[in-house]
Amino acid sequence: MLVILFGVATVTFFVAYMVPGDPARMIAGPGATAGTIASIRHQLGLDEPLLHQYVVYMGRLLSGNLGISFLRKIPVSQAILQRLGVTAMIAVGGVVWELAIGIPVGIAAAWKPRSIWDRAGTLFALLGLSAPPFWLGLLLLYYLAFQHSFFPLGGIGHPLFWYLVLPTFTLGIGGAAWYTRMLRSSMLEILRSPYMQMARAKGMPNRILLFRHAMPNALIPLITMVGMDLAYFFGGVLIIEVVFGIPGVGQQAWRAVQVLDIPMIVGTVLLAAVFIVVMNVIVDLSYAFLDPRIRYR
Amino acid sequence: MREPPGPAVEATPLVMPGRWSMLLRSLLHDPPALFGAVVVVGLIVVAVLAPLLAPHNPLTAYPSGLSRNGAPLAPGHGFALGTDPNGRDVLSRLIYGARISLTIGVVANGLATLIGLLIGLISAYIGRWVDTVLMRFTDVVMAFPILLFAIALIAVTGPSVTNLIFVIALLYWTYIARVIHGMVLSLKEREFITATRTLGVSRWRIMFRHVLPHLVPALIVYFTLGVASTILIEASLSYIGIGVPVPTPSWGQMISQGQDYYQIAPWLFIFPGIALVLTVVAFNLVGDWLRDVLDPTTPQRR
Repeated sequence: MLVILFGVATVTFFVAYMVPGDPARMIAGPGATAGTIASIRHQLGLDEPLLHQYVVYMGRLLSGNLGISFLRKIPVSQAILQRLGVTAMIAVGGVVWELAIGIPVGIAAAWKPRSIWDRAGTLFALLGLSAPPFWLGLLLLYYLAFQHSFFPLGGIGHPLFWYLVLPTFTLGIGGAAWYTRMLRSSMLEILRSPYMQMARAKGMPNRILLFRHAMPNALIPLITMVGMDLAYFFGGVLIIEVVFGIPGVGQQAWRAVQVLDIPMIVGTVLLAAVFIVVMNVIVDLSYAFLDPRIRYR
Repeated sequence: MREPPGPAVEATPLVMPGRWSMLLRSLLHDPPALFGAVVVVGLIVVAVLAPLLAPHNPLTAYPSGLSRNGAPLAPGHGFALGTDPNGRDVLSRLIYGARISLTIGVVANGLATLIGLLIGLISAYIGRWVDTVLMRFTDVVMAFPILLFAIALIAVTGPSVTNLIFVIALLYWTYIARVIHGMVLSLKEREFITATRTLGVSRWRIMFRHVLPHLVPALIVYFTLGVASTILIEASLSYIGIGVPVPTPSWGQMISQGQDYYQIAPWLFIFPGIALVLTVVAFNLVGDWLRDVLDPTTPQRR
């Protein structure tokens, strides 16, 4: 994991280094004299050789310093932390929807293969996977918030929960489609297995078969995927935040791209990648913990 | 005794029931896959024949395309699917957008598949430190969320169609690489490979002449499924504003433009979205069918 983190930081450094345009000039603003720019450049250490800049960069990272945003003139880490709460809520909400829709539909589809449930579920999965989230969000906004005012037109307000329904639903639907598929195929496999046949032969009622025997086994791989989803939502949330106008980390990154606020862009990307790597490890460990059949290493 | 008259060799029937007709039959019996295939072929036709099919020039801002107070026109006479805020014809932009999206999707995915194939094959077959280094590198690239990293890269290199293709390819190859890596690891142990090794065939020759052909079915499947993903990625990037540069039409970009006017001109975002969904669904369906036909044992991937 450390190697990967190191690699991630290095790649990010090179991306930041290769940006065209002069950061010193950007910070100094238009109309600054050459002397000001030169002194800023010296302050930032931009006139040092590449290796030196790299070492300084890594050192700063270890102390949690991600640089100063060109646009907002505050430390990147602070800016991100300010908005992290909103983004986190959307990410968690998305996962909630994913599970709330994906699990029931997936199980229903597997329980009665080839039935109307199965066909509808599979169709739903296909559409959910193929519809671009930004379009779906817009569609929902148009019909449910604009034409009929069931939901607010985006943004954040009170009651918070109400404002989050559409964005989290849009975020979750893609994952729900995926989970439906996954759960369906793993349930089908489990239902065919010998121990399930044995349980059925023993005359166990369907409900116990389903909930006590089939589901726990089918759900374990799901847990790990949920963890990874939570991590990857950092990227997907950007689109949702832009569509619904939500002031989160993603929207901030988007604005940063438009004005080429490099520290903000790079800082956000780095943080997202680190989060993913860490979640990966946590998920792997928890997998071994949850399923006693797995020997970790 | 005289031999009864007849051909000395068994006659070959005029129509050979070979692999292709079996494939066709399988396709015809699978309605979703058939639908997908029809849509994909239709898309290719539309993309290729765009100049002939589009009723108007997609880049021209027609003065007649705007209402008296400068608002875009709803679908109706003259402009079959309406116009955009600049007075450009939505239908024509949709048609040319098919060309752009398809091209970018296919080329970017092709590049990604090539990179992924090479890295997966070489690292898995040669093994040892090459394998470790390449797989760690794959892990590092995979750690970055595609959208965010693509944004950063395009911010660095500037928005253009070529950059877009490269950026998508440079981020998407990891999935193929992992799959190929797994497949080659198991292929490596098979007897026919051991046999060729014993015969003294060089590593590279084994990799490309003996292992690679076994990877082709999986490659075809993943390529098809991958096009669906790369088209979505391109659409997302164009939506954010760092994809295909204006005024070249791209479906994602059209949706983004439509967002500003969605309350008064919903046709601006509805139609490109439908196009996107149709396209992605079609490629997914065809990819799934190919997977069932070519190799039912292909591992599932995200």
